[in-house]
Amino acid sequence: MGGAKTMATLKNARWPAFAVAIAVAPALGGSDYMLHVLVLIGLYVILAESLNIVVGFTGQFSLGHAGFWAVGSYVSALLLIRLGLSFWTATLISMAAGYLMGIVLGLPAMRLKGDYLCIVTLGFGEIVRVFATNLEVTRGPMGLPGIPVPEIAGFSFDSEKSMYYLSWACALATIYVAAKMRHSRFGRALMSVRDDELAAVSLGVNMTYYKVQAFGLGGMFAALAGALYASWATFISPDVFQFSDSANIFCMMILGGLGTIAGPVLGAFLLAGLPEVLRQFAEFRLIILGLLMIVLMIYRPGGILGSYDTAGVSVKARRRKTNKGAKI
Amino acid sequence: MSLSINEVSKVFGGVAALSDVSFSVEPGSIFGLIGPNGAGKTTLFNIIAGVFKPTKGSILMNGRHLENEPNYLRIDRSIARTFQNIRLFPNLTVLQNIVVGMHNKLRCTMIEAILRSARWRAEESAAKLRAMELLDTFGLANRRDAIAKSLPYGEQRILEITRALVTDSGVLLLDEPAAGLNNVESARLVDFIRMIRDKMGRTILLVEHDMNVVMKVCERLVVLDHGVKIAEGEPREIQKDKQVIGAYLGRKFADEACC
Repeated sequence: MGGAKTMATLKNARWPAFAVAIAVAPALGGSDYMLHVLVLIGLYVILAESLNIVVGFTGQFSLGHAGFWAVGSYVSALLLIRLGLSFWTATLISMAAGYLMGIVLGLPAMRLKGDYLCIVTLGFGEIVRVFATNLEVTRGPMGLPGIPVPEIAGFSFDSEKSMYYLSWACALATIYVAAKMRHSRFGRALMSVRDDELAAVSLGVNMTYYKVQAFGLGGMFAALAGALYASWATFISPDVFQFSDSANIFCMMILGGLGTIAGPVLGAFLLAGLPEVLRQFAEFRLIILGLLMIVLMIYRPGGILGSYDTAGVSVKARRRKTNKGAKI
Repeated sequence: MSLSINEVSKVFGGVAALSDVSFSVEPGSIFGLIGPNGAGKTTLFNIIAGVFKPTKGSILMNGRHLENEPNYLRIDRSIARTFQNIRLFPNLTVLQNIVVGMHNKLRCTMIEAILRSARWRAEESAAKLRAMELLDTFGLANRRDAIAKSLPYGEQRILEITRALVTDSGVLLLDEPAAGLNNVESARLVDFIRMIRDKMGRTILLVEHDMNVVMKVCERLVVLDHGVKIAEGEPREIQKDKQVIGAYLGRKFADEACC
């Protein structure tokens, strides 16, 4: 009993512990380069976690997530440069734009499944990039330089350290929302649609609504990552948002554990962090990364954290025989 | 809770799967829909459950037309169903499966869940309590945290029916509930169905192949053959009906058996 209790306490403490670790990490020293990589990982956590709402929770394959990222970046950047709005207002508007874009993509997508849905979402990502390349307002392939950094009450987020805190605050908020969503009426409806559409509908779940909402929410959080990215990099161009990024985000989610909360976080650390660690191996690093991916998929097809299954209840919690603390 | 089916026809391409079938299900009865393979039972069942729209005719629930309503609104009209080849949410726990069944009764939005409002906490714990109550009644309480796909077949069947019950629908549609069950399990199923009607006051409409189960549990039967209703009555009458025996065994047997 004591052991089980300790396990439960440890399990409950793992996210606060993670947040504390993120908060103190810069104090342990580390170069601007390391902080730079960590900001990037934070943005990828937001992207992978938001894609997880669409794919992991709702079971709709989407290979165009970089499209939402681009929408968020461009909307925010244009509002900052052309209209001189504050970063915070611009971010909120770009999130609304990401949400609407998700709804627009979700409407045709709700009639499609599997491979066909993949192709439509892949097409969406490409369309966004082509628009950004050809529109005058986005300055085409020349991109948008000089995007102002976020500011609040005279404090300017111009250092890597300040951006680190901002991006990770947003990443932790995204993780929190995803985790709480899963144990709500809304989240259970998404998972029921993923597991069996016909059964979900027979229980009164409006499948169309939830599929479209999943795309909307996924798009909204990806746009948040986009807005942060634009103000952090201060320059964006269509080249940033390639199909390879969509695929990369997808791999992070799969590698970490599809449908889990911790999985996409771990995946983002591995796939955004490892290329930096392996940088000394130069051109071999992609081969090493690819091999690692193959080995992991053979031995853990559910992802590294796949034992924390998609119901949101850990294997250990299910073995526990107490009558308290069941999660729904 | 009166459900009536009025002159329902369904045409698939050039095939008439159902022609002018009418009957009504008395509130609080256990009603059976039988017929040989290809008789149109499943088609009719799916029309009542809202999966298909009838080509002609109407489905009335307490006088309200249902035939053109979308599928997911059947629960709001007090009609719940199970499936022939059990459709649980395989990756969710037993408890989660039941709570999805309360979807139309829970009111809290996602925002409230994220903010963990008092209303959300109260609603979730009430839902959990209600689910546990039902699981307890049907002997699945100790399986609460098991992943649905890990349950043995018989328990999956019970879980699916429990999930339909938690919706509090007045009418329960059971699609071949005895399919794949052994003799002991089907005997338990008969008791189970009776209990649902007697203790919970639900109306039950079932499609079934297992005549043992049908004759034991149903109080009234409709027999379909080639999309046409050929008989309606109590099981005892149906067993002697010449047309029914003819449909199942061929007309030659019907002549020998009856006259």
